[in-house]
Amino acid sequence: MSAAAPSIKSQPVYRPLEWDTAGASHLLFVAADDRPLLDRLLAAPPHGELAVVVADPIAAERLGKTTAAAQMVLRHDLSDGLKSLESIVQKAHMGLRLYLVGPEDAIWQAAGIAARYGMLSPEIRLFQTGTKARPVFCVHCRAMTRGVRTNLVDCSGCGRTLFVRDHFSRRLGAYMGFQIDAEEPGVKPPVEVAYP
Amino acid sequence: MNAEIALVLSRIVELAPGIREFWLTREDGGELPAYSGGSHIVLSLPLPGGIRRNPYSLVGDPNDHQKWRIAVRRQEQSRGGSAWLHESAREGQSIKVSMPANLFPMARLARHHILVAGGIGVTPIVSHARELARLGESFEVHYAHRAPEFGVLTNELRQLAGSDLYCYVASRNETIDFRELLNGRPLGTHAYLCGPQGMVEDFHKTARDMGWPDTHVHSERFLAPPPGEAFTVRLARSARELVVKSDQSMLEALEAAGTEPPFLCRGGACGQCETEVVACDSTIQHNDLFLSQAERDSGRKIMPCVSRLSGGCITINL
Amino acid sequence: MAIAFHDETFRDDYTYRNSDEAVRRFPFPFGQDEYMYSVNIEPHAGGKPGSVYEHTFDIDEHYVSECRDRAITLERDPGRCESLPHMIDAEWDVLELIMTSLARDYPDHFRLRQDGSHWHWTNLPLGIEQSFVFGDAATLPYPPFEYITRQTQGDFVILDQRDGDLWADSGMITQQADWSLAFDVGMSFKEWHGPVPRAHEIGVFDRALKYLLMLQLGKPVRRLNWTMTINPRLDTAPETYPEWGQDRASVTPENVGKKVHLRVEMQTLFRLPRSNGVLFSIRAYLASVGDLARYPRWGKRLHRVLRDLPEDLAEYKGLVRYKPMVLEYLSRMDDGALVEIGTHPE
Repeated sequence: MSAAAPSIKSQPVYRPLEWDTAGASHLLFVAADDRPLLDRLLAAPPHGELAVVVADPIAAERLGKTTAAAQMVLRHDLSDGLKSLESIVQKAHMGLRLYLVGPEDAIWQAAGIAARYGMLSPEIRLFQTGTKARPVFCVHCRAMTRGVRTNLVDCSGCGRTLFVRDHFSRRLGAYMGFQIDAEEPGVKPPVEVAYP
Repeated sequence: MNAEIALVLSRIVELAPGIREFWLTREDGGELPAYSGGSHIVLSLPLPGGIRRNPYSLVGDPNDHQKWRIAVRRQEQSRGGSAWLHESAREGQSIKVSMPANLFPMARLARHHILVAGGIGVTPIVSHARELARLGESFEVHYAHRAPEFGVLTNELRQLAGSDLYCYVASRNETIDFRELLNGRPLGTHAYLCGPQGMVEDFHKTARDMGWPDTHVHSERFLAPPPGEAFTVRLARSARELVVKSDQSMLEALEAAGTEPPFLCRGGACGQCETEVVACDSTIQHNDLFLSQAERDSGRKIMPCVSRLSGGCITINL
Repeated sequence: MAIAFHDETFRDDYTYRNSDEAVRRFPFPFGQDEYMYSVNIEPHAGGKPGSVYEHTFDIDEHYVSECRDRAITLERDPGRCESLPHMIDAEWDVLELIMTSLARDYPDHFRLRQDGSHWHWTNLPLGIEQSFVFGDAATLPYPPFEYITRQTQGDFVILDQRDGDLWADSGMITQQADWSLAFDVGMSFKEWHGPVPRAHEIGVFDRALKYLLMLQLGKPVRRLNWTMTINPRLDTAPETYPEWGQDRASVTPENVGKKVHLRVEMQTLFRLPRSNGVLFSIRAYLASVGDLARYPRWGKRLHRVLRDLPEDLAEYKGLVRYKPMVLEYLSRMDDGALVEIGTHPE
């Protein structure tokens, strides 16, 4: 394993977000207040029923005042937002398209909920926006360390200094972290902000 | 080379006018491998003009190691295969059969399964129903046929699906309304259909119109190789030339000439017999369900099991 | 013929040794002086008597100790065996394939009695007798896939086939070349191979996937892959990297021949009947560079392959730190003479 590994194909690539016109109904999950993106999407809503779940305090404040979707659920943090998302998905019907907007940690947790209810990738569109901070799965102790902005991070579970690799698991919604100095204890590259 | 085993046509049952069921067993009475619901086998039928290889869905219990069952309807436009099975096949006869392959598998992550059968398309639906019942999955079966006597596997389906079997008999003016069938289904529902081409197309179109993604809608259909003008095939690697007769598929002509291109479905669906085109002085009639439009437009590929030329000559990389 | 099983270790004091015969039958992977990543798939339809290709699953002198090492790893980390819930049919498929193959190929060591769904399994080398009902997981001490792969050499992944892709949804992985099942389980074919350099760009995985989606029942295939390992260690997982990572720095010019091992994986792929899944078996063989170099053909060829290996591949395989010492060691026996094409030892 090496810090200088080339880019890895499991890392998600996000394409510009558009409504999926093949969908019969639509559910937009917002976990970051990307104003230009949200304004563009909501100015031209898709055909069929549209529900919006907001899981971010700033977006909740702003969209609560400006947007008139058929169904609008405003939550001020991610965990409440994910609960609201689940309660809608649980009762939803085939034909639904799910749009996930926000940091990777939020949108992949949401995608995990959708997968539990049998949604497959053609029904879900993801777009990373807001912080680039990464959720990191420690391969040694399996703890998840969230909000990682640096190339190295101390594991929240076992305390080892992990290198954050570009290898990404959609099921875990996380990047892989492994001990950086396992070959030469104490030898570590400088810590840099890599995921602002 | 495709693996084939010699089996015995151990039993022939008349299920309905023009529909026969065949049991295939091992000559030595030994066990057959298990298979997955939705699998088919390819029978090598000894027609007077040569071997005709046709795919048939396995019907029945995938865990039955004693026999494989198929049900065959006599096709009005038969190229000889179904006619042979209905007129010439005899109990006790030996027949070569491929190992099972599955181009119509169960979606194991589904939360609910809707199985739809049209006519003789019921065969893979029965094997799916049996697997789903064994696994304790949530499923329902919708079976449409022409008249009461053609509901040949209704009893078997009733045992598996109970009150979740719905029959639609055309002679009683009963039809399946796909829009109603697919409406208001929970996320994670998968729908499967095996039936005539028009029914398959309607089903897919309705599902798409209602926002179902293709990943949740499964269908099986094998195309019979359509007849056409005779044409010439040149084999680039072995520098040979052969003629495909008008009632023969290109794959059959290649086999008759002693080459053994790989195949699985022989019905334009699986992609296994994809062959590279080196040159072509005529128009390729692409009849398969496999090649993309871009691949067809490139003129570089052909599926010899169902596709052919409107006369002329094609050179292939074989 | 009865195999004489070794009593040896793959950790701590590393008493693992290959007999002369085991070195001779080692699946040396380099037929030419230059190595490049490729699909290199061929039918797995037997091989020369005595060769590693002869039987469906190769059992050798390391069998008993390898199973013991796997048990130790699982004891410390049960997560090395994972199976997603929809894989239960595939688990039984694998159990059936392995039991029937071993009983057929090694009747002196393994026996299987089948009476309908009532089966009785005898594993003489490990001293196991087990009656169970095929299809009823409650009649076995472990889930079916874990049960049988605890008794088989090599790692195993079961791939579920759906939506035109293969998904790594089950695995028994205790001797891997540095990839984590806990992290990778549930990945698609290309995600799982994400970290492999170069191969994506040259379309290796597109071709391999297309090929494997059409893999036929009763027509398994195989290929070889390789890397290098310090010490005859099976558990080189990312999970335990802190335990073995420092070994790479322990290589010296004096111990290189004994300490550095070529690790060859015979990978076999089988279509599974009930589940329509694919079993991916990764059978690892370890031989020290010193043992291999006893055959001059192999010593010279290994020297040339390593010498000319592209840097990113060396990096990916984790060889960079000690490669110069291996080259120095092997260069002494490479006179530069032509080595004819082929993988045979002499």
